[in-house]
Amino acid sequence: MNSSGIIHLGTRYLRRQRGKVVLLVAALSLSIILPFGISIFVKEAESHLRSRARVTPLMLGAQGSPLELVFNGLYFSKPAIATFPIQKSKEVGDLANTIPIYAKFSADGFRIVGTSIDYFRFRNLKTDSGNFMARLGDCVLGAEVAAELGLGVGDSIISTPEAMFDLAGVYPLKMRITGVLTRSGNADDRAVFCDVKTAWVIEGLAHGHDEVDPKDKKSVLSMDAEGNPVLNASVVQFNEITPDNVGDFHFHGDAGEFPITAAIVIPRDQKSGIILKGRYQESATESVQLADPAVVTDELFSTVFQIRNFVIAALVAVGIATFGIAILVFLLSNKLRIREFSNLRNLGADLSTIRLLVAFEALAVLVISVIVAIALLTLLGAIAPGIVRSVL
Amino acid sequence: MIHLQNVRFSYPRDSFALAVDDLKIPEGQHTAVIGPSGCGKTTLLRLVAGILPIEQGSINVQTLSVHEMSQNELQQFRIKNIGLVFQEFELLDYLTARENILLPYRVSSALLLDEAAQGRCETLAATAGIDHLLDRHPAEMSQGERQRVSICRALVTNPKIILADEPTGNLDPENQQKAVDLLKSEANRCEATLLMVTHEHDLLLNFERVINMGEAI
Repeated sequence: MNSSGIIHLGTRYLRRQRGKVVLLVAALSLSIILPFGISIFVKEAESHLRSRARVTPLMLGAQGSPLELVFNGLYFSKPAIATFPIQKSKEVGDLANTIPIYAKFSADGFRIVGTSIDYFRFRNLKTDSGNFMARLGDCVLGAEVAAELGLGVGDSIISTPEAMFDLAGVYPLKMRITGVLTRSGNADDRAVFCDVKTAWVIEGLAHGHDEVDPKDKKSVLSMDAEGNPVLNASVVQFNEITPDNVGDFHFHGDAGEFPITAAIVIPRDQKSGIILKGRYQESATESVQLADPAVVTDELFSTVFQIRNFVIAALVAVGIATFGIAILVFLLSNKLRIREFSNLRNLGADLSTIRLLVAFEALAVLVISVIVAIALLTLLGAIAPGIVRSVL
Repeated sequence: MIHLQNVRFSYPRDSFALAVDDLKIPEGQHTAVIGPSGCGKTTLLRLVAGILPIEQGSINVQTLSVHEMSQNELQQFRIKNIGLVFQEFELLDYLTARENILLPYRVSSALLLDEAAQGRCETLAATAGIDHLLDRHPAEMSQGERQRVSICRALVTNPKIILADEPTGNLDPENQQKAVDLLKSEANRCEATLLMVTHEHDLLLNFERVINMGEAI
């Protein structure tokens, strides 16, 4: 047996058979990577979801899917969910504090989140530059929004109209950027925060325009049921809130009926939390629901884990089949090399040398596949948090 | 001296049978083996090399009894004494000419791939006129060049016996003569016995002796 000769011949053979080796390595690596990769992503998603859900005590929202409510409240997910009147969030009374979330509109592809200053305190968010919003029309950008759009304090961002061809729709609102948040590594990095009232302006529930004389028939078409004048389209509405026109912005209707998509409910203590949960469980006729994000994510992951286990089992089966095919490829390839092995024997190679040569080649392909798989899985482990964050 | 006495051989499930009553090939002699296809020329070479086991009789090479050797002993015997040249060259396509020539050193632990072996490879290649092709793969060479690489591989270990099985079968007349000249000159240099199977009657004048396997030996 000549070990250096075996390595020499084996590596030369594999180098010459590059195409075959690359295919085998790709197939074997993939069969290793897939089950482990799925586990990495599921684990990362689980940790990401649970960490945010764990620090969010309760979530109030319109009746419907608790999962959609939690996802909208935690991740400002699209599409927007059903809304409910903000007044409903006040009904928790002294048992809890509430923070409104109105995540319905977008600006340059990023979700506009209408909320209150309390949200930043609750999520422990700080500004990297500038300050939190101070008046109507101000907004604060998440770190990734600012980086991707190249915007900063003093710049402005315009809300995206919901329906491009809706002539009667709401005008886009140009918002002043007063601050950029410090990177937090979660959904807050990819959101544009403004006061919930600013979000209502975007909704069209509040607006500002030049002063109009109600008796001016050129400007006023009619009066609505509440006695408010319905203005002619020729009356220019403000699409930006400035110190000069902020006083002209006004709301129509009952502010308590204005919509939000969710409200973070922070019970004063454990007992208050239990009372609140009980209250909303008992009143099935309520138009709102109170969800516990931790419980909702637990339920979600019990399902995800079941599916993951099935998928991994299937992938392991495919992996075993792939290894079987790789062995078959080697066996068939060795059959084609019988003459070569016979000549090596005639030139002085003993049987163990031939066997070791074949084993070395198979082992080399396996080792390369495992190394490639480990390298890619390490890379996957490093980029998975970023991918999960950008998806969730 | 190669001495075959009362040798009998047949392939399993085959009507072919080889019988050699008494054949002596003196040391250093250049011998051509001729005869019709299927008469046992290649088999004779394989028996001498110990690749095929005889059914009866004896094969002695100098003082060694080839027919009594174990597989390991036969292996060592071939490595130290035999240089094999094949009609189909049998070069490994994934090795360069240099690596093919030095192949016996790679597959056997009995041979040491040292500077002397490397030097012999270079010298042989220069003699064969293929020194400029040493880093090329067989696919990049002509038939004649490949056969010369194959001959160099057989000679690189300084064998005492060179067994060449129709080494000119795939070559044009010019390359046939070049291959025979190379085999003869290197056999002379090593004082080796040359036993070459051929169908080319034009080449027979190059040999001191011709054995016709079509006739009883």
